[in-house]
Parts: sequence; C-alpha cells; structure tokens
Amino acid sequence: MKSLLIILFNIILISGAYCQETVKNRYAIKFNSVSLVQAFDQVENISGLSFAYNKKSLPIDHKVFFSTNSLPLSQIMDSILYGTNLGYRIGQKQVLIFQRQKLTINGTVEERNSGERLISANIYDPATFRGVITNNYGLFSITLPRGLVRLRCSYVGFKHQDINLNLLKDTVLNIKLVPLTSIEEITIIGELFPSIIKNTQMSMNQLSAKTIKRIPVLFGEKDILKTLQLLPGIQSGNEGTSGIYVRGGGPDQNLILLDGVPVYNVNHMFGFFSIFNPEAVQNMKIIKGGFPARYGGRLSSILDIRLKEGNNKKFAAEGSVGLISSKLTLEGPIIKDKTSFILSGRRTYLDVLARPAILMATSQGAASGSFGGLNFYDFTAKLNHRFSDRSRVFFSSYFGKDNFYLNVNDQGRSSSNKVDFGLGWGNATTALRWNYIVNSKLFCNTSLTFSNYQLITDLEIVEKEQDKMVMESGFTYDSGIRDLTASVDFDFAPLPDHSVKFGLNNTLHNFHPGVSIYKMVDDPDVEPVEHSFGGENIKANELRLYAEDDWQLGSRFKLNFGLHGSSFLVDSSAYFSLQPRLSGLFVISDQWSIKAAYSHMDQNIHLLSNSAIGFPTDLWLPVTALIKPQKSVQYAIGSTMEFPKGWALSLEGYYKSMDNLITYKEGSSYFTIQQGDWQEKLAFGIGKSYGVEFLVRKTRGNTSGWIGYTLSKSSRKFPEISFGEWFPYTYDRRHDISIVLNHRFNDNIDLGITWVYGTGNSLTLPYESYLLEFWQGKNPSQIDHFESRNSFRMPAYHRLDFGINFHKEKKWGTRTWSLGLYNAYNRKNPFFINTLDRSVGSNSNQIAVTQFSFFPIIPSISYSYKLK
Amino acid sequence: MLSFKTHFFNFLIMGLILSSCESTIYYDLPEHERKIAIIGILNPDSSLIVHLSKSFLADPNEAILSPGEVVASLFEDGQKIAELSHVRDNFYGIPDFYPVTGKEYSLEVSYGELQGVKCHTHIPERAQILALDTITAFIDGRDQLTVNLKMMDQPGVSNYYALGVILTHKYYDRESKVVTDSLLSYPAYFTINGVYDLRVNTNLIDIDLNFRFNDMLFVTDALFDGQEFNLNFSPFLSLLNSVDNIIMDVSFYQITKANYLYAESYHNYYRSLGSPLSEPVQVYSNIENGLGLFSGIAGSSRRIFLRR
Repeated sequence: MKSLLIILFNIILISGAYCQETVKNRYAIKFNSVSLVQAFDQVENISGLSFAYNKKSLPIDHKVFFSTNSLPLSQIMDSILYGTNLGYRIGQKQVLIFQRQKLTINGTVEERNSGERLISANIYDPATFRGVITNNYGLFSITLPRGLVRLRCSYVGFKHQDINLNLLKDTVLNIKLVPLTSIEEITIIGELFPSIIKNTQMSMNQLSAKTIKRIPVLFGEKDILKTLQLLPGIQSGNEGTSGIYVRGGGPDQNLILLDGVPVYNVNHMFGFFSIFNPEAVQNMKIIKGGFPARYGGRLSSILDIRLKEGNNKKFAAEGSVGLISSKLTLEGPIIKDKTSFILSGRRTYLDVLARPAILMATSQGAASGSFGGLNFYDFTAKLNHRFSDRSRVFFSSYFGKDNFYLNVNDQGRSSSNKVDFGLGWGNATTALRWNYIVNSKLFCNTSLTFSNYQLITDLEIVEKEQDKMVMESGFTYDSGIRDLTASVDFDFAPLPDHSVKFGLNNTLHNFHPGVSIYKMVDDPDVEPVEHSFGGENIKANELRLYAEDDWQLGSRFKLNFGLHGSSFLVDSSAYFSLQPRLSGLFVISDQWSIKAAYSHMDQNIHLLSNSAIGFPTDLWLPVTALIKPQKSVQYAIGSTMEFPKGWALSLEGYYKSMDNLITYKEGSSYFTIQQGDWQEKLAFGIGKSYGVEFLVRKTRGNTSGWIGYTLSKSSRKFPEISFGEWFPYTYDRRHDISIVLNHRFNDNIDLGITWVYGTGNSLTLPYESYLLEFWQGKNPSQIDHFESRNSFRMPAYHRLDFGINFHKEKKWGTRTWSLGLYNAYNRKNPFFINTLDRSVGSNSNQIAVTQFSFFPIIPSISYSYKLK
Repeated sequence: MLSFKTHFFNFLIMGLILSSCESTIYYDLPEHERKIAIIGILNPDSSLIVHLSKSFLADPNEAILSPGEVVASLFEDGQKIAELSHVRDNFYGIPDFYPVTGKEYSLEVSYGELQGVKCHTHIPERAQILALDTITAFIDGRDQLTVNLKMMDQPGVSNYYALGVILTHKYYDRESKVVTDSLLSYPAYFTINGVYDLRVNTNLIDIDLNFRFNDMLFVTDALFDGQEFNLNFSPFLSLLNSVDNIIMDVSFYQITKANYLYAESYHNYYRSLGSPLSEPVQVYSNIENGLGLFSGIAGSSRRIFLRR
C-alpha cells in the first residue's frame, strides 16, 4: 500500500511538469543483454533523468538486448520494456515505471470466405510470450497489459494476420483469416503441430482434411485413422486396417469423439476403412498423453474429430468418385452469415462391381449359385445458427451402416439347400449444442448428445426334398450400446494468468450385450423349437466432473493442473474415482521448450475383442461387481525445438502402467461368450508400456513432410495366462518408422510418398508337442505346447505408397485426378498366420507356418471436384 | 451391363490379391531340450499303468522312448514302491499294484540325457452314487430319457467330479437294418446340466460349466458345495428302437483338482484348434520339468438295462 501511494504521488508530481525537450532529444545507446535495473541506469546516465520504480515489480529474468544511434527517449523506453507488464511516464526530471492494467481480448477466428470457425488457431503475443489457441468452437480469450499490443494470429493453410491495437479496455476481436492460394501455400503439413512450443498440452497432434487428402492410402480411400497411424506413438494393428493402438494401449482405450459424441465402432468393412468421411471433417486432434482434466473415460488417447459447420457465405459442393466409393458434400447458407448447413454422404459399390465375378466363379448351373458382398454408407449432416455474436446453436448428426451378405443356393435334382446370411452393423450419433458467451471472461457450451451402435446377425438355412421342406433353421443375434449424454462446459478467465475450464456431463448407458435366438423346424407338423438366450440389457449411469487451470507463471513457465472425477453406477455396484492431471511447460526460448506431464485415467467400459481386425462382433461391456474399471497412470516428458526454414524436432518419452485389463480366457472367444455367465470367460490383468517418440518435420517449402520413429515396449500380465508371467502385447512393436513426403511440382501437380516400417506383431507358436494317450483309451491325440504367450514375431512390416494429384482449374471449379500405388514394391506383409505345419521345416529346429497377406501392389484412381 | 474393361479390372485386382495371398515362412526355434511327458491316472480299481513319452517337434515317432533307458520309480507316502516296467508301446506299470484311497503318490522318471521329472498326486475319496433313476419325458415333441444320478458332496472343500457313460448293445447295421449278435461298446454322447433344467439339455446349447474329456464330463461342486445333488443327463439312445436292449454303465468319479484343470485346459485347447479368433491355450501340466498329468481318481459304477 505504501509503495502504491508513493507511485501515485510521483505521478501527480510529474504530470504537471512534462518536459517537451527531453522527449524530443534523440539518444544513442547500446544494451548488451542487461537487466532492467542496469538498463535504467544507462538511460539515467545519458538523459540525466532519474528512474522511479518498485524493484520488486521488475521481472528478474528480463534481459534487454538493443542498440540505437538515434532514437527519442520514448522509443528507447518502449524497447526496454517490450515484453513486460510495465509502463512508463516521462517527467521533467524523472521517469516513472509502473505496472500496466491487464485487459481481456476475446473473440473468434474464422475463415473469411466461408465463415467456418477455425479450431486451434494460434493467437500469440510475442512481446509477453503469451499465447492461446481457439477452442473447439473457434473462440479465444487472452489477457494482456493495457497499451499497445501486437497480436499474431496464425492457422496453417491460411495467411497469418498481425493485429496492432491500443488496448484501452476489454475488447472483442473477430479475426478473419484468408486461405492461402495454391501458389502461396508453401506450408503443407504444419497443422499437425500447432503452437507446440508455447502450449502446455504435450503429446498432441492435429491435422486437417487437407492433410489427409494428400497422403496416399489403400484403394485411394482417404482415411483419417490411417493418416494418424503415420504419427509416432500411434500404431496400426494389422495391415490395411484403421484401428489405432496408442502408446501400447488397446483399441478400446481410445475415446473417439465425433463432434463431441463418443463413437463405439469406428470401422467400416471389418476395419479396413474408418467411418469418418474426410470431406465432412474440418479438424481433428489426438492426445496421447498429458491429458487435460476435461477429458476422461479412456486410458490411452482422446481423438477429437470436428465436423465442418457449413459455408455461411455461399453455396459450395465437392465430391469424388473412386474405386471403392463415391462421396458428395453440399454446404451453404440458409440465412447468410447466420444459418448454414452441410450435408455429406458416401456409398461404396465394391460389391456391385465384384458381383459378376463372384457369380461366375460360383455358379454351377442355372438354378445354383452363390453370391455375397459387403457395402457401407455413411451420412453426415450439420446445421448451425447464429442468434448473435454471443449465442450460437449447432445440430449435427451422423448415420452409417455396413451390410455383409452371403447367399448360397445349392440346387440338386431332387433336393435343394438355401443359406442366407446377413451381418449388419452401424452407428448413429446426434448432437445438439448451444454456445453462449456470457461475458469476455466466461464461455459456456451446453450439449445434449446421443450415440447408438448396433450389430445384427441373421442366418437362415432351408433344406428341401422334392420341393417339400425337410428342415428350416435360423439364428439371429443382436447386440449394441446406446448412450444419452447431457453436458455443460465452461471456459473462464478469472485472472490474467489463469485460464480455467470446468464442467460436468452425465451419460445414461444402455448396454445390450447380445441376445441370440435359435429356431429349428424339422417337421412341418410340429411347432418350431425356439431358444433364446444371452445377456440382459444393462443400464448404467456415468457422471463426470472436471476442473482445470492453465496457469501462466512468469513469462516462461506454465502449468496446467486439474482434477477429473467420475462415478459409475451399474446394477448394485458403484465406482468412484478422482483422477489428478498435471502438465508443465518451460519455454527456454522462442524456439525451444520442455514439457512434462502426469495423467491418471480410468475407464468404466470394456471392449471384449479377440480378433486382430475390427470385427463388429467386439462387445462393449460395462464394469460390474466382478469387472473393475481399467486404470492407468502415465508419465511423459518431452522437448520441442524449431529451426529456420520450417524444420522442427520433437522428442518425447513416456511410461504408462495399466490395471484391471480384461481379455478372454484361454480358449474362449466371441462364439463362447454368450453361453453361461460371460464374466466367467474373462481374465483380468495388468499392463505396462514405455517408449521414446522422435519426430523431425519440415513444414515449409515445396518439399515438406516428416520422419517419425517410435522405440517402445508394451507387455501384459494375467495370472491365468502364460503362468502369470509378463508376455508381450500382441501389438508390441519395438520399432515403428514412418516417412511422409509431399512435393509440389507446380500449381497443378503434387506428389505424396509414404514409407512405413514396423517390427512384426507378436505371435504364439508352439515349441513342441507331446502325446496324450490313456490306457485302453482311444487313439492318442497330440498336444502342442508353448513356453510363453507371444514369444515369436511375425516378419517385419514395411510398405511404400505413392500418390499423385493432378489439379486443374475449370470454369465451374477445380477438378483433381488422383492416382495412387499402394505397396509399390509388392511386399508380402503378414496379415495373419494361420496354419502350422512343422513337418515342412527344412531342418529339425525350424517350424514352417503359412502366412496370409491380403494386400499386394494395388493401384488406385479417383476423380474429385470442387465447385466454385 | 458392365463393360469388358470393368470385368478385366475386377479380375486383375482379384488375381493380384490371390497371387500374393499365401506364403510359407520359417521360424528358427530357440535351443530347447525335449521334455519327458507323463499321462498317469491312478485308480484304486485298476493296477498302475502310466504313459511315458517325450515331446517332439514334428514327427510323433520321436515321442517313443527306448524302454531300456527309462527309469521310473513310484513312491507311496514317500516310500519307494517299485520301478515301473514296460508294458507295451509307451505304457509302463507295476503289475498287481493298486493305489489306495487317501495315500500320496509320487513318480520320478529319468530318460537318458533328458532332464528328470517328478510328479505328485493323491487318491481322492471314492465318489458314491446314492441313487440312479431314469425319467422319460415328452420334450420337444419326442420322448426323451433322462438319467438322474443322486450324489452327496463333501462340504467345505472344493471337489471335482467326472461322469462317464458306456453303452453296450448288439451291432446294428444301418444299411441292411439287421441286428447281429456281436456286441458293440462305446462311450455315450450325452449332455448334462448343473441347474436342474431339462429344457437346456439340447445339443444346441452346451453349458460351459461342464466339459468333455477322455469321454467323460467334468463338473465342480461350485453350485452344490456340501449338498445332495442330482446330476441329470440325457444320453442319446436313437438306436434303442432298433436293437431292443441297451446296457448303460454309469461311472461317477471324484478326481483331483489337477485332473480337472488339465481336462479344462485341454477342452479349451481342443476347442480353439484351428480357430484364428481364439486365444492360444496352454494345456495345464502338473509334471515338474516335464509335461502332462499325474492324477488320482476314485469312483463307483452302476448298470442300467434299457429296453424298448
């Protein structure tokens, strides 16, 4: 208080005696990395003015490095105090140093042409090292000292914008960024790595639909999850599949959010494609560690996919025709600048194209023949309406379904057999969301979401003799999960150095573990025998609360700490947990920072899966009195450096322990889980994984790309498996390398190349056999024996893909021909190893196995268009 | 109508996929010594005979032991009884030696350079059949025979049981539909429940509480610990109408936990063979440094004559 009175007194004293002459004088001075006190002393020496300041308010780590031959005193002072919270006033004999008032700038960042809000755009004040990124709704809030402010807003693929303003009061700032034209666009993949130097969030990658479209993939079918697999720490499962395994975790440990709604089965075509249509996606980010408190419910990753909002300026259309599918996206304003929509659909036709070939291969006569097929479609719709600058509502919906069918018709002279098999599965999600900016410091998002996943299997067999039905049997199975969630989230900036997020959400889960119905009729005169059995529906209530604070401690240190709490009520069981989260950032320089994080996560639902590919038969099940929640603790540390010409390097290490993991007991599978108490078919264990991730990238120039390398180990321990010893996780991958290159030859042609290498998946093979024979028993049988689970490795996986795009501007818009070559050198990578044949081994200590490879060299072609 | 080009492209893709689909690869096994394998079931009603062999990589003939090099000693309550002698093939035994209920037995086997193995077991209390009744019920549109076996479980301890049913009848030639005088004896296929519900006794639903191994079904007393219990099982007797008479021998045993674990893991192993969806199964072993099973078993039998 005393010091404040002194400062006020000085202000009054000198305000009336302002010396024009001192201000007009120009000075030559040189500061060679000196402290503020030393700088003030130097200015005193040349100007004759004395300095009045509170020494405690001076930042001790601030260094002044500056020289001039002729500048007025005011500009010298501006330079000395640049990057501090300090202001000055020059009097007749004195220069008064005081702390500036802090004010808040809040607003939005959006694309100028379409009005699409930009997620994770950077707003950065280089003077104070303060920066924020826009949230999932394109909103930001930053608190800075009063006075002249120079903000830089950037978003890769867009021209950055420098905003100079004299900050005299809390200000609303709506920034409109302009997309780069193809000529200007030299930053190709920078959106993968936004603002990583100054953000406490570590282990995060982000990418846009534009990046996805440039990377060559199987059948030319652009896929979000397959692009993610090229990043360090994120592995693929089997070849061609889109499942992701993050830092040694299982596929069930990824929380996949589509516009904030959890999606339970992200696979089309048994996992060879993901359900996300890149043309409808605006932005996605994946967090592998250092989880902020606002996220919870899964152990290994959070994948947040945001759909486009729809162009609110003009109507637009884009689409493509490929080998597998065609896509069409329509968007436009309903009320310009207020209400917009986007509709996007995709449908495959591989089954239609392949049908003649299948019929030719299986037809044995006019009345006989077999055919089958697999197709999928998905549809995305989003509507948003802006009531005012402060209030906006969104409605989004996704619906997708896969259909697999097989019809066998075996027609004999006097008898016939007919088999009809159908397997269908799909997701439906809906979200209704209301954004409201309460004031410049408080933002609120309220949501009501619905998610449904369902699988239906149907089999019917009819046998006839002399046109008379002799036997008819049928089997129907259905299972699924349905969620209804209400949530409210707040972003709050109560103090200049704090950015607080808090909220809660409540989900009503309805698990439908599966009901099977058998029907058998073997005598037309007798009532059919029908049996139904399977798990009853399980209802559960999950409540989650969180609070986190992003706390700026000085100019170089930032801390994000928070707590995530959850309760899960199912039947008579209740589980509660408190999960602390902590992340720290230390900015060494503008180009170099160090981060560390600790995360405690829990997961109240389990996925029962024993197939390597994304079979829709995987079952989502809740915790029960017997099955406890999965838990994990992850420690991570990393450093990021940026170099000139767009080069950057990041290095991260992590250690993750997991508890209460579940798997099928030995010999059990999906086909036995429906019998008896399914919980008794499960084994419970622990896991651990650790590794180092290395990423070097180049984001500017005609040639860009990255090299990612992961060295990791992931293992499991189940008391009932492998005699309770640690054994490698199936997808334990010691080395995982991805090289991604993009080269732009000119405005019309760009080339993408990827090469991936991974240690082979682990595998169990028997070392030896012995005979099982009883006295007076039947013929001896042979028992294969192995020492431990997953002690062998499949051959290493590697593959080279090419993709080239030819763009051309037309009167109506832009067309692109895309040619691709998957697995260019036709590497026979193992998909699975099925048949053991030890007798063909070339010497006595070898075993031979049959390896099945699914994807040879595969060319692809697609045509896409975008209307002006 | 799809064009020729479309057909050609389809076949090109399919041809490429098929051509690269399958390949044989070789794995070098780590240096690994073969192990002695023992299959020995000790029954007070039978003289002691065990199966001795060694593990092998590919050729089952490698499993055969040279009898002259086999040294196998049996111990009863720590006292050596005798060395086993070769009976035939891979079977070794002690003639006229009958294990005794309640005693502990151990077997030590050595063979040439292979690491010697040890195993232990006890002979459990004899399982008693308190009553054996038959019920004929009209189920699913037909008469179905259900056999009810009443037994008493010992309270406070985990007990394990095995049930075997042997059918004997005259040989029936299905083609000529003629019954001959020669007798045919074979283990019956039957289903069992543990929850008293005859309705689930169909071959469509195999209650996983029980499983079949060595022509017997195995159950634990988890559902009826210390209680009188009725095992209901339904043998398939489709030939009864043709052969007029069938002899049904019902054997009911108490077994050791090791025997149960072995049978359970074998059952899982057998069921998972050839299934790429099932996790691989390690068959249980209670042989130190070796492989296999050494276990006691004791039970009782009843015979039922079934007439058309």
